[in-house]
Amino acid sequence: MKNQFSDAQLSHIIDQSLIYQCACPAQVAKHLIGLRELYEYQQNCINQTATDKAVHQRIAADTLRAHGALEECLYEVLFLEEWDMATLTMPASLQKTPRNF
Amino acid sequence: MDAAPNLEVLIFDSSAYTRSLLLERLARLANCALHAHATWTDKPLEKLLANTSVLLLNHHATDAPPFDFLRQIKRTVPHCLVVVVSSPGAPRRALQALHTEQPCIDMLFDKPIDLERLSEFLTERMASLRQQHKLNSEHLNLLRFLPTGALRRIFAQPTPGSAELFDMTVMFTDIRDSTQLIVRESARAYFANLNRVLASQAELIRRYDGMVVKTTGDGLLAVFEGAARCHLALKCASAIQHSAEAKSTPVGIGISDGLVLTGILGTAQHFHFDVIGAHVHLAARLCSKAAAGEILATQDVASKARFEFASQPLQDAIEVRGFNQTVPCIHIKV
Repeated sequence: MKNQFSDAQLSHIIDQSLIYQCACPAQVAKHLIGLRELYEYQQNCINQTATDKAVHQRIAADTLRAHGALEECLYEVLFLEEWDMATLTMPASLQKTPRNF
Repeated sequence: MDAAPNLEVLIFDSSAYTRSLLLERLARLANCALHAHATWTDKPLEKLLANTSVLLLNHHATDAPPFDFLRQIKRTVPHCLVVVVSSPGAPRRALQALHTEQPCIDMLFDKPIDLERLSEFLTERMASLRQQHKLNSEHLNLLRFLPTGALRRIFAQPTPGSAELFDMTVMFTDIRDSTQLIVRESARAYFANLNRVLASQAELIRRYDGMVVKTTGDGLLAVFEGAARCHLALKCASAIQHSAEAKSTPVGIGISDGLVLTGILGTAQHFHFDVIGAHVHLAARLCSKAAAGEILATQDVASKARFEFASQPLQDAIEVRGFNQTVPCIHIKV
């Protein structure tokens, strides 16, 4: 699996978006991690029959396609939201200002 | 109505931004005091966690691994609820593996988190912790009413009227000239002073492994069990007479030793632990004869005590119902 974003970069994006309400890129990053886990999981499955092999190939191919599409999506979202693409830092304008603190 | 205890919630989050978000959202939790820190590395952990009921760690993938920290928390404050928020993927897997190896996380949330769900979880768990604190406190209070040592087995079947015989040393204390004290002071001031004196005596009785059976107006009835009971009772009596409270409010003390019937008196609605028998009467009699600052005990108590002290035989013959002849007694100089 070729990655545009490393695992550490995805975690870094998620860490900056603690809560649901301001976490669109984090939600995408979370699903990318899920797809990577799915891909890794099925890679370790045993192919005992021809059907097994076909099933795992299908899952791998579709996971890769979905992963590629979501990585593109994440890149576009970060660009649209004007994240610092070098450090993957959320722009201050997107940070919620907590009240009373 | 009981006031809900204020629980302390400690937040660790290395990002000022997410730390402030957590503080803002969790500030809505009722009856809890929130404290937040960026890191734990520069703080004395035991002091920091002393009163903490809930620890919330928002772990960032770029933070130092919190494994030793989490293990230490469970060692230092095992009752503390540990909630960790982490990014899914490698950080979560590492925390999950740590927890499998050595349980140290009570709840692991994935980021991004649903703060409503986190708040609900904390509210529910804190209600449970409050209930636990209340029960612990009630349990401790109840233990203060219960007998200690072998006597406690009576409470396995707390049936009013049931009783058992025990070899015990019985000690009575009584404030001398209390009538004059009552007249001299206001009733409220006397009561406060009485409580101070009795509390001090009770503390010393506990220190010498004795048990307060009850207060007797201006004094206490206590018992001591075990092979060293006479020794402990005399040491305790001596400590009471040397205490600052006894100097300002003099007391007399009587001590006897022998078989005593112990049990529960009362009805199904209200009962209390008590001790009765000839040696209880004898100790009470000796206490009533003891002057301010004096300890009167039976010769038997002194012989069994193996305790070096100055004493002289009591000239007055002590007659008590239940004894065929007068009981030899001594006056112990303290």
